[in-house]
Amino acid sequence: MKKTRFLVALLAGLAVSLSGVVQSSAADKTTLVVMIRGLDNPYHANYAAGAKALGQALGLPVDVLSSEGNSQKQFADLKAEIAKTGGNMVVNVDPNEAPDVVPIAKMLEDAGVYWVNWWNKPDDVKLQTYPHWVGHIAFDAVEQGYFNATELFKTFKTPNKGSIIAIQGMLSNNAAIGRFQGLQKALKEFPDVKLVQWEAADWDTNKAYEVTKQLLAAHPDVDGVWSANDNMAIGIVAALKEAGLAGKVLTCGTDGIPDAFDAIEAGSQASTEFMDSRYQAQLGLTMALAAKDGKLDVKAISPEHRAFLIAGTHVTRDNVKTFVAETVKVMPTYDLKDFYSKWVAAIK
Amino acid sequence: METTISRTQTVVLAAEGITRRFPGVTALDHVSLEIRSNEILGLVGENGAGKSVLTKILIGIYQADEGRIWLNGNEVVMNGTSDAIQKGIGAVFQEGSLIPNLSVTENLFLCHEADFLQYGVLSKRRMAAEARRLLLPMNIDIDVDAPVASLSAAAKQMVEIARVLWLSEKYGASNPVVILDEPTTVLNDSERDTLFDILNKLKRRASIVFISHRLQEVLENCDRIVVLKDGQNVTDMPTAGLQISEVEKLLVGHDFSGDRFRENEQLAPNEPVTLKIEQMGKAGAFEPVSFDVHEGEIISLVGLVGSGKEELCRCIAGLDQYDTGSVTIDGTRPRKGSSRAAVLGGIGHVPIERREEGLALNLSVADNINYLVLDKLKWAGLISSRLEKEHARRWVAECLVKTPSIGSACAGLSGGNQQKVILSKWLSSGVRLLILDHPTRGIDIGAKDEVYRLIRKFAKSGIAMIIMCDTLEEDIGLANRLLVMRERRLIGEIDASPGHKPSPQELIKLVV
Amino acid sequence: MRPAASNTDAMRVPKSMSGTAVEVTKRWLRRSGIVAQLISLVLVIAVFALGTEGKNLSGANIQVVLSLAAIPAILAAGLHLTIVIGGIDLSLQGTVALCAVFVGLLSRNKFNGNDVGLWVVPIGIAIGGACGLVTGLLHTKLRIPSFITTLGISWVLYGLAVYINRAMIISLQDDRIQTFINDKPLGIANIAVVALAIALIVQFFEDRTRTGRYLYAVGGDEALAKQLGVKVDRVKILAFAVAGCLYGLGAVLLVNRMGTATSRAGLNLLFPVITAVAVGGVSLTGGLGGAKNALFGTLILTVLNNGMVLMAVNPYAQTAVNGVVLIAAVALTLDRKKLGFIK
Repeated sequence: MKKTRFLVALLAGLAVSLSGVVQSSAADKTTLVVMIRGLDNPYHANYAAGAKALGQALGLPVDVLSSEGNSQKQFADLKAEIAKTGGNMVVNVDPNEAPDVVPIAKMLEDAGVYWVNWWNKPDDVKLQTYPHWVGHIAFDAVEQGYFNATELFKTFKTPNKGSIIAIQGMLSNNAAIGRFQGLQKALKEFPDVKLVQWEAADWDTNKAYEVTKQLLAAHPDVDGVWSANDNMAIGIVAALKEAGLAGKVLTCGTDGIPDAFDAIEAGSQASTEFMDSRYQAQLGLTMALAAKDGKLDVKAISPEHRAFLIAGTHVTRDNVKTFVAETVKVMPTYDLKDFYSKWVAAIK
Repeated sequence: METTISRTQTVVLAAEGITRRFPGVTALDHVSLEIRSNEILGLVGENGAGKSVLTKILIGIYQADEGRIWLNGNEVVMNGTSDAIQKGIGAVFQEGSLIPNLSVTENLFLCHEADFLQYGVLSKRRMAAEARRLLLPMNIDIDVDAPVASLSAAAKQMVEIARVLWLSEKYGASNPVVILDEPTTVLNDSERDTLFDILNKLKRRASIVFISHRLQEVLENCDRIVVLKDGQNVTDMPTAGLQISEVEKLLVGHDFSGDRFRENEQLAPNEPVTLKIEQMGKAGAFEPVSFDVHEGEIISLVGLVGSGKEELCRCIAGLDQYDTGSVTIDGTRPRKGSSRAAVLGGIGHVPIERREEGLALNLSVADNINYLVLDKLKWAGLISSRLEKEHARRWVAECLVKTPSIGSACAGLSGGNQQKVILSKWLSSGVRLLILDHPTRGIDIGAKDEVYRLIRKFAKSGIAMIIMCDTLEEDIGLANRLLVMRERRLIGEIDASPGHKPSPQELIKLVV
Repeated sequence: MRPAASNTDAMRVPKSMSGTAVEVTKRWLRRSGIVAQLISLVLVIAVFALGTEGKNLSGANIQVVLSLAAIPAILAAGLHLTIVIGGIDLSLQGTVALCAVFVGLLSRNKFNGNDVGLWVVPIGIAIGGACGLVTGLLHTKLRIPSFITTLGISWVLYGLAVYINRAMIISLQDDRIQTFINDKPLGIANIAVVALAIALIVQFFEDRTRTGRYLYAVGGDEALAKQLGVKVDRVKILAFAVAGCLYGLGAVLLVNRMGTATSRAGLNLLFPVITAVAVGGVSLTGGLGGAKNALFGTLILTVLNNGMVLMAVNPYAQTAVNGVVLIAAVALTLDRKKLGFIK
């Protein structure tokens, strides 16, 4: 009994002194922390890669906290991180779920840590309540739907004149709703383009294929197929190919997956909008760092710039080759001087 | 007796000293049976006499604890039905052993299709032709490709008989033995006549064991009769010249050993009427009946399976709908066809299948006893575990339930103790009329006595009862009055108050 | 005049379902034959022919329906076997996901140097069969209800698929199978011919082989079948293994038709396939209905969904219609007498 207790005490002591060593070496350097949902998908993998690249450029240590979809783990990891750095850190968060934002905000407020949040927060939570919460940012779904629609319209035999069918994502999903609104906006702007029919395919490649195949049989003379994301665009391209329309009738997407770039290059997809998670990581961290260093006065930021939407990167046939070569395959150097260069609208 | 056996007949199958025990019961006690070639043997006995167990031992579903089986003079062991059939012995049970969704042809040859295979493919044509050939002597006109579920009960029996014969033929048995377990209960008169025609023809190449409790048909159609009672042989004699009354005497037995049914504790019923049945009828089940049951009175419904007494009880208990008439319990009429309304009105039902219907086997003794009275065990609106325990303990003591604790699961109790748990459940609920469907089925002598004691106790406390028993003696012994049902009609009422008990022989004449 | 006439015709269908007609319908469906399915199919086609002004009868649309029905039909030909024996197989999505990922990684692709060529077909079938074999063994040897076993296995296989696949989208660079799928040497796409052949083979197996008949014996009365000498466990394992093989084949075709493989390939397949099996008249209590029923069920469902797309029925309502169809089909075909309690 006594022996065990002694051993435990010894280990604890060792651990404390070790962390002391780590802390003293890191204490003078601010730690860049990114909180993500998991590393099993390219989006979040790039998120971490972007943060690491920034850390290397600035000579600052980087920690990646992955919640693996578990909110409790997310909180525990954050607590441990605060203890480890003694609060000398900035955080960029992609929260596991919207309600998680509140405990995270309280924890970081107590620790005096500046941070930026992405994608989700409860609507009634206001950033103004939390002086250390520098910004809440999301990509603009309406803009994505709009941009891809307009690019698609350009590819018609007679540009901006013709008919399309549309494949929606999961009907209950916010991104799907936003992107479809973008399509409606584009249709209003180009009255010569008719939406003959739309169907939902739940972001699923196979379902998109099935629905498109049927719609093409009913409307063989459409000029384009609008799609709410790239995953479904794969299925649509397969259906177009079977109908002998690949390259003649195009589709579009959003997300910027490798297959979409291939399809754009091959001429079966008009465009996609790339949501660059590396940029997301770097932008958030840079903003928080600026606030910490006193270069950005959080109180002075207007509400429209506290919570806002940004545009993704537009990829079309014109820029796909260089884009893939210079941006996707290598780590680009982002212009991070103007935090609001991609600002499109405030989040209400 | 030797002289009555024809010289050409030889013993095909013989069972000798067969004993089989189940927990708490000795089902067969040194029973012997001889089946001779080219005969129809009648096997009779009351319910629970051991006929079915004996059949199951002969075809290898059960193994005997003691005793031997001889086939054509050689001792054999039956390892299951397929082994038995290869030796030329098969049985046709009441519940049937045909798979309902398969066709007649498929059922006939199931698991023996090898003869009809051609390159691994079944020849449907040859199967159907063979099926028609087999069914030809059965005298039935059925589509051999129709699913068995669409056949009449009679046709199903014929198919099963044909299957047994075909299989024994296939395995080269020269004189197959076909055991028919109560085949006539599901048949109408003309179907029954057809069956006996066929059996008499079959006799030329097979032996038939015919199990029935309809003595008339047994005596008319069988060559020899074996009577079983309480798991023991009573007799083995040719039917020629035998009178029904003689067999009745054998069936019922003489051994009234003292006061088995605690008749000296029997009281005259009280004046008030607890249950009033007026012109209650259900088409196809029983003709309209009327009778009263008084407070503390025990009425016994007597009749064969199919006489309509089970259906009558189910209707009173609200388990089935009746068409005409009414049930009045203590002046109120519960909604018909609702067992819940019946229970609320004060009618309790102890079913024959207590393991399936009467008891929640996985729940504890206490849970089962308290089931009907949970409302009364509340304290401040919530069920109090203290009251629950007190209530359960009281009734366990009252009914002498032998259980390790009130928290033990009912599944672990013996049949007798399970029955006592069910009885305590009803008693504690303040039931006014209790229907007891074979209350002593499958429980040993000692437990039977305790059940009788409880029944007497209930009667004393004013609970009215309708009972259906395993034996006529039990009916007579327990009841104040006997209501006799035959062929879906109430045909008579017999006083059975102490000192006026009828004899079983008198009663059985009415019943059969 | 014409639209009015078509309206009344369309309305007559639900009306005739009421009253004694329900009994008649029930009797139809309870038969293991396909009379009811044929009639339903004709009715559905007729209703949509009116609703779409004949658009659903165009040559192009018929081609589309046939090739879209093909993969679900193959999967249903597998899944219905497990329902015939009185069980159910919910592992479809997991098995397809795992097979799809293996098919992707073994065919010529961008991520690794593998290229097994057309061997991917037998390999995919074998992987599916192995999954089914494991399911069957777990179900029979550990005596776990098939519902739970297969549900569990589905998640295990899906998890494995995600782990191996790591969310990549694997583009296939060998389009021989894709070309074969869509070629029409017989007038309809080869994939539909393959599905038809498989349905016929499975139906023949069910009708004309001993093991096939034993499936029905087990589904009709398992205890009795065992008593009569049917090797019940073996029959059950076989049903799950054959089902698995067909899921494997389905996965090969699914992946090649799309030209890409991911672990998400199998999602959204279980519900339509089970619905198809039920609509086809395969009784969920076991013992009734064969591959032909599964095939007709798939056709009915495909025609129904196709009709709704052609009529531009609100997409929110389309999913709900499928749910209603499933419940209605089960209500008409389920033999409740066989179940003591409905759980």
